Amino acid sequence: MEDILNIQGLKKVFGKFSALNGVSFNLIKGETFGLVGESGSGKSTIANTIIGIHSPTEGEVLFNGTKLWKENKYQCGEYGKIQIVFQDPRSSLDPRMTIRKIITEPLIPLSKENRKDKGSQENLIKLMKSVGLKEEQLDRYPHEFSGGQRQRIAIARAIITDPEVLILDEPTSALDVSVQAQILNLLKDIQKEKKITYLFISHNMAVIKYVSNRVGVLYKGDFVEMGNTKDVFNCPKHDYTQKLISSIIS
Amino acid sequence: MESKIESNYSLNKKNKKKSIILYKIKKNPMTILGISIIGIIILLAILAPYITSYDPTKISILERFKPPSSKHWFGTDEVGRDIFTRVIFGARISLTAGISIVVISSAIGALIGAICGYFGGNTDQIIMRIMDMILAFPTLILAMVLTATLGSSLVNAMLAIAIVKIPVYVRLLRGEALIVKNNLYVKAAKTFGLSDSYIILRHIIPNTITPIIIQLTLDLGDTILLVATLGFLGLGAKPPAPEWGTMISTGFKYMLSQWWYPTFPGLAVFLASAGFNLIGDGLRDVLDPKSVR
Amino acid sequence: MLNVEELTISFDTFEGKLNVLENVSFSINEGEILSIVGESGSGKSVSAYSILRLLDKNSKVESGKIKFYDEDLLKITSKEIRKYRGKKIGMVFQEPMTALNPTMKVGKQLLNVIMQNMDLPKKEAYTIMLNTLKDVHFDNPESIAQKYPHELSGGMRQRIVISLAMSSKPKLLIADEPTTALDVTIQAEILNLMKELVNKHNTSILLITHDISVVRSVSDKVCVMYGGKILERGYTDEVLKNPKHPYTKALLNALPDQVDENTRLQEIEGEVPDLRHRPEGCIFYSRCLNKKNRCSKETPPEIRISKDHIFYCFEEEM
Repeated sequence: MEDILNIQGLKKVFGKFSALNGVSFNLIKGETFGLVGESGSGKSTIANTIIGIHSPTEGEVLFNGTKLWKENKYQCGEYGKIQIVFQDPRSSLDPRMTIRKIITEPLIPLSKENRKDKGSQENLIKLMKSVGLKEEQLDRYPHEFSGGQRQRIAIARAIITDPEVLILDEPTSALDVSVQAQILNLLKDIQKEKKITYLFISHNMAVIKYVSNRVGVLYKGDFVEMGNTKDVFNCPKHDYTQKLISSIIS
Repeated sequence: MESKIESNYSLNKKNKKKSIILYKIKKNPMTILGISIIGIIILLAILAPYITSYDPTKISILERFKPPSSKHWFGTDEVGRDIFTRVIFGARISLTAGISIVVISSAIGALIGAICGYFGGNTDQIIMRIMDMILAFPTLILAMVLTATLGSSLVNAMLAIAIVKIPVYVRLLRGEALIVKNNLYVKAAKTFGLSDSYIILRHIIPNTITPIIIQLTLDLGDTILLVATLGFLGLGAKPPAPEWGTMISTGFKYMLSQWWYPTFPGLAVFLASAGFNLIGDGLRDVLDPKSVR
Repeated sequence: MLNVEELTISFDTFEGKLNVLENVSFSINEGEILSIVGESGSGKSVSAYSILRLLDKNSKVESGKIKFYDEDLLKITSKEIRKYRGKKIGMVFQEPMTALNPTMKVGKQLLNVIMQNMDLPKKEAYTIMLNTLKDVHFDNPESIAQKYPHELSGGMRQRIVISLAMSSKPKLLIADEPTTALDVTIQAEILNLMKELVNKHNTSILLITHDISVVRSVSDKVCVMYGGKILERGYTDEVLKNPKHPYTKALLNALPDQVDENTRLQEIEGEVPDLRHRPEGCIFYSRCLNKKNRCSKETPPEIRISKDHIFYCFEEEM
């Protein structure tokens, strides 16, 4: 059980505001780690640091043992090993690009062979199928799809590079309940097939309980509780965790 | 089941878009008027040598100051040149000048604006202050000063106008870029490791095209007017070029006795710039997503 | 107290008319909380807005009644409906920031509403204002009244909006997704507050939501809407413990909170229907797991399980 991602003492300050106060956790290969928190907890900041958008003020982010941030520069080595799916399916796809262009965009910085191989029509068809979409839809535009379908497209785009880690930032929060189930099932299937490690971020305790192996509860920039999902949900130790859990059941 | 539902969904949206555009154009008689006027002018400009048998620059003293007749539809000028011929050849000059200016200033302005909006920070601040300085001057005065400095010629007049027009596009694109860059697809592109120049060229600018096009069309009207004005002031094209402004300038002296001389070129300037303005307004109604009803 | 009968509302769109609500009926008694739960396009918000006539100009009431204490709100003039807004019927929207004037202190905004709705002089209105703030759990109402909206958290702002709506002690409070934009822990606070207000002032609440856990925590009764129609309604406990309509069942099974992590969630195949082309027969037909032939051709009948629990389906026992 090796660690694929290691966050050590991660601190992030924006001006006067401290979003993260020095958090540490690890991601075990193949698991789904649920990151729970409400607004202002810092959960998006953690995601942004791992994916290269914000540089840490202090602390390390290690991917397979290698530092991702060196002297405030993001060095991910090979591109596409860590990918992210965002919450809002409306603004995460460029309305002027075809689905084909959107899905193959992450391949651009890759090597020529990788691009040819992963971007081949054959591979694209397989990919569309695996997210529940059809080949003909490759040449359509985002506005022709519903929210749930757009999220599928976003997922296809995220897995085309065969990532090792997939960050899911509230992937179902903007979707209808009936569609949420489709997407959660899809994510489970993909994880089983491709053996991807998930960092699942959400404020929805019910969803987190359902998808995660381990859970970390974030409050105002610090972890207040962390452990196996079963343990945390059955015997929450921190008040805040209890408060969150009681919001599911009434 | 799903394919039926969704293929209906997408077909409906495509047809809806097309029919909305046609519906709006039909609804707006002014736009149709604008399109007709410009259509005619463009046609005349392209077919100029085939429509008339006269040479726009050939002097023929015997024919001087002839009033409009079946032989000379717009009459002749002080050296006997057919004014109708000169007007439609002038259309070529005005249209090419107008289009080139607008294309250059929009391209440069858009790029600068996108960079400012996307990067922000000090670069943005400095550039915007420079743009503010340019915008503080009345367009015509600045264009006049620049042309005079560079030396009066059509090319220099075009250059001057282009420079004066750039800040409009910079401002426009900067505003649009500020909005567009907050979209998640821009953030996503960054996470794929794509460069800033890729993001600006492939994501920011294509999504800001609509307002550029509207501004372009409106500007065409204004630019043609400016070119003519500079020509009128003697700062643009020089005689014997059949440029509308220059013609009005020379013809102005003969306003009282040979009324046709400045009138027809003047009419041409008016129609061309008004026509483009009408199209621009119509385009805005059509392309503006807020006015879908 | 509130009786909506066979309400049918259409919208005039570019492609023609479409019915956003069809034969919607429900009722709320005094001191009750009724939730209308549905996904996007279900018509739940339209139902709420139609009561106070807050819909766009391109909407038309095709048929039906909205009876508020025996007065049909659809038949009165727009002048008269204004007498109801904010006085006998209050409304709370989803986004508290847009409901409040950002340039005015919250105390003043509340004061203005009280003075206008209850026609009182400033001094008396001020006392009422402080009491209203205390009602919504502000321990220090004087200091809160001096704050601007942006100085308050989302949850606090929503409490201010609720206090605005409750200031004239309305008989009915309509809340459109009041907790969706708030954090989960604040959500619980707001919902508890609403329950308290119901008990204290005998106000009824019409709660619009897409979140079943919200329904579960506060509502006495629930209506499940889909594609502009009510598919099932009844007392919350009954409907959630013993759902009868295939859609309700599927919705409850699609929620991850009742399911073991090794089980797949029950998906509802397909997407929400295009209301421009309403199918004949049952609106849920295309996505139903128990569909039969007649479901696509005839309108499903009303089946009464108990005095208040009804659903619309061809299957008697499922």
